[in-house]
Amino acid sequence: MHGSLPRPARTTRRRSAAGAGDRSARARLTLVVLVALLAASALLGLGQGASGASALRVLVDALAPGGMPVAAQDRVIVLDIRLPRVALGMLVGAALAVSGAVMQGLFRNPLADPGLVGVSAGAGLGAILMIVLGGGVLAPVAALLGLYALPLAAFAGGLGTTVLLYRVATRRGQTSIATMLLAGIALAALAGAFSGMLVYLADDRELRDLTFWGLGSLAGATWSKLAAAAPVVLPALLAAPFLARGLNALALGEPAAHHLGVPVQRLKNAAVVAVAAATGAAVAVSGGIGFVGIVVPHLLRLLIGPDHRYLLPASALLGASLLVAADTVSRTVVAPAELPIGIVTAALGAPFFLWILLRRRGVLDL
Amino acid sequence: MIETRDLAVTMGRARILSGVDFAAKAGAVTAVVGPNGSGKTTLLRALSGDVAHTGTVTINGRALAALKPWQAAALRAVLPQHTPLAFPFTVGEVVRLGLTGGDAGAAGAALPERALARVDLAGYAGRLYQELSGGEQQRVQLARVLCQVWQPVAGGAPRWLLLDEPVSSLDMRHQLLVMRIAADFAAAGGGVVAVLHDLNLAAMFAGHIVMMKQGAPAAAGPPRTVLCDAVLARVFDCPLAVGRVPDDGTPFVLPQAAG
Repeated sequence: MHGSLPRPARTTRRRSAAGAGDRSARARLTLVVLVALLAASALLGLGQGASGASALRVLVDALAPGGMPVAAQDRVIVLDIRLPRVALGMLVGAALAVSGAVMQGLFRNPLADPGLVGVSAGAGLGAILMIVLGGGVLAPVAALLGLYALPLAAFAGGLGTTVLLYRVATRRGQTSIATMLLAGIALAALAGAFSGMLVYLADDRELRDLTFWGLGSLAGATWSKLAAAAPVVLPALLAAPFLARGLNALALGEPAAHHLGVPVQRLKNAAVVAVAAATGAAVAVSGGIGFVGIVVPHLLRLLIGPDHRYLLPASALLGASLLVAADTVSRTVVAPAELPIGIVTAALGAPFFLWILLRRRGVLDL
Repeated sequence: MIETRDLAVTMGRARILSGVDFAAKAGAVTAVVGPNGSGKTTLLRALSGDVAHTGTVTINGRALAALKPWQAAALRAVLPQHTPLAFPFTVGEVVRLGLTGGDAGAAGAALPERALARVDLAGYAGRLYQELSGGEQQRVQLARVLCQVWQPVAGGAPRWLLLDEPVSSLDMRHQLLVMRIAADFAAAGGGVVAVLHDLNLAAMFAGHIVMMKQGAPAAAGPPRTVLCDAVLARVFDCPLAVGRVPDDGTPFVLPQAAG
C-alpha cells in the first residue's frame, strides 16, 4: 500500500472536506466488521468439535427450553466444554494482541512483542515457580491467592521482565531496538534456565502439570480457569484505550510527547503494567502461544493506520477471533486428537514475521 | 517572558551550560546563535523542561519545574531538529497530534488544514509522513507545533514557540517562509525562541540575539549591537567582517569576508 499514493494537490484535496489523511471512518467500519468476524468465529468454535454435538440445537434449547430435543450429553459438550474454551480463546487472543500493540507503541517499534523479547518467558518462569513451589515453599502464598496464584505469579514474572527490559534498553528516553531484542534473548534464556532447574525439583504430578501447560494450548479450558484469568486480563484490556492518545504522541518520541502535555513516565508505567498483566495471565492459562501479538497489530496498521485509539480495540477483536479460529482448527484437523495451538500460530506467524523483516530490510534501525 | 537564573546543565562529567542568565521577551523573536557545541540546543532543551538542571527556569513568571506536563503544553510548543516517526502515520494524523493537550475545542478540527496551508503543505494531509523529504517533514512538524499554540496570546499571557534549528533542512524560499511565521507569531504578541545557525536570518528576523560560547551567553542584545566584527571574532574564533544592508543598516555576514 505504500509508495503508490497519488501526489498531493487535486486527488487528496478533494477528500480534505472530510479531513484528508483521516482514516478514522475506515477504522470505525473495520471495528464493525471485526465484531461480526468475532461472532462468526465464536459460533464456528461452538459448532465444531470432535463430537457431532449441534451447537444450534443447544443454543435454541437454552433460549427457548423445550423447543428442540437435545441430548443432555450435547448440552454438556457445548456449554461446559466448547463454550469455556471459546471464551478463554477470546480472552487470551485479545490479551496477546493488545499487549503486542501496547508494547510496540511503548517501544516505538513494530517488532516489539512480549513473546519475542522475553516477557512471556518471564511470565512462564513465574507460572512454573508457582506450579513447582506452590506445594512447598510458596504454599502459604498459593493458599492465600487460591485460584489466582498462577495468573498472579505469571503477572509478577512478566512485570519483572518488562521493567528490566525497559531499564536495560532505554537511555535518556531513547529505546535502542537492538539492545531491546538482545536483552530479550538474554532474559528469555535466563528465565528458561531457571525454569529448567525447577523442572528438576518437580515431582511427577507437577511435571505433568508443567508439560500440559507448556505445550501452548487451550485444552483443558474450564470455567474456573476463565474465572482465574479474567480478573487479571480484563482490567488491563479496559485500561488500554486510556493509553491510546499517549501512545500516539509517544510515536513522536518521549521529549515530543512530553511537550504535547503527556505525562510520559506515568504513561510508560501504566503500559508496562498492562502488558505484564495481560501477557502474564494469558501465559498462565495457555502456555506459550506465539506471534499473535506481532501479526495482529501489524495487519491492522496496514488496514487502518497506526492510530492507537482504533488499533487497540481492533487488535483485541481480531486477536480474539484469530485465536478462536486457530483453536477450532487445532482441535478438528486431527480429531479426535488435537494439535497444540502454539504449533498452529507459530506455523502461520513465523513466516509472516520473516515477511515483515524482508519488507523492512534496510530500514530496520538496528 | 522566559527567564533563567544561574542555569547549569551537566551531562555525565561534561558541564554543558553554566551560570546562564537568559531572558526572552514576548513580542519579538529571540535568536540563540553560536558555534557548534556552545550549548544552544541544550539551552533550548532546558527551556522545554527536557533536561535535568540546576538554577531556575520561569515561563510567564511561573517556575517550569512546578508545571504539570499539560500545563506546560498549554504555554509552549517545541519544534525538535528532526522527528523520526515509529509508525506509518499520515501527515494529517501527525498534525492532529498537536491538538493532543490542546484547548482548541470545536475550533480545533479545522486547525490542522490551516496549519498545513501556513507551512505551504496544503493538500498533503493524506500523504504518509515517512515518504516526505526531510524539509517537508520539518514543515509538517512545524504545522503540528503551530496547532498546539495556534493563538499567540491566551488568557492575556503570551504563548511560546521554542524552535530548534527550524530551517536546517529547508530551501531558501521555505527558510524565509518559516522565519516569517515565527516573526508573525511574535508580532501578534507571542514569544519565540529559535536556535539558528544562519546569522543573516537571525539579523533579519530576530529582535534580540543571544550569542552562546562555551556553555554561557557571550553577548546579548539587538542584532545591530551583537553582530559586529569584534564580537564575532571573539565568539566564533574566526575573523569575520560584518556588512550593512544599505537600506536599513541590517547587518550581514558573508563567509567570503572571513580573513
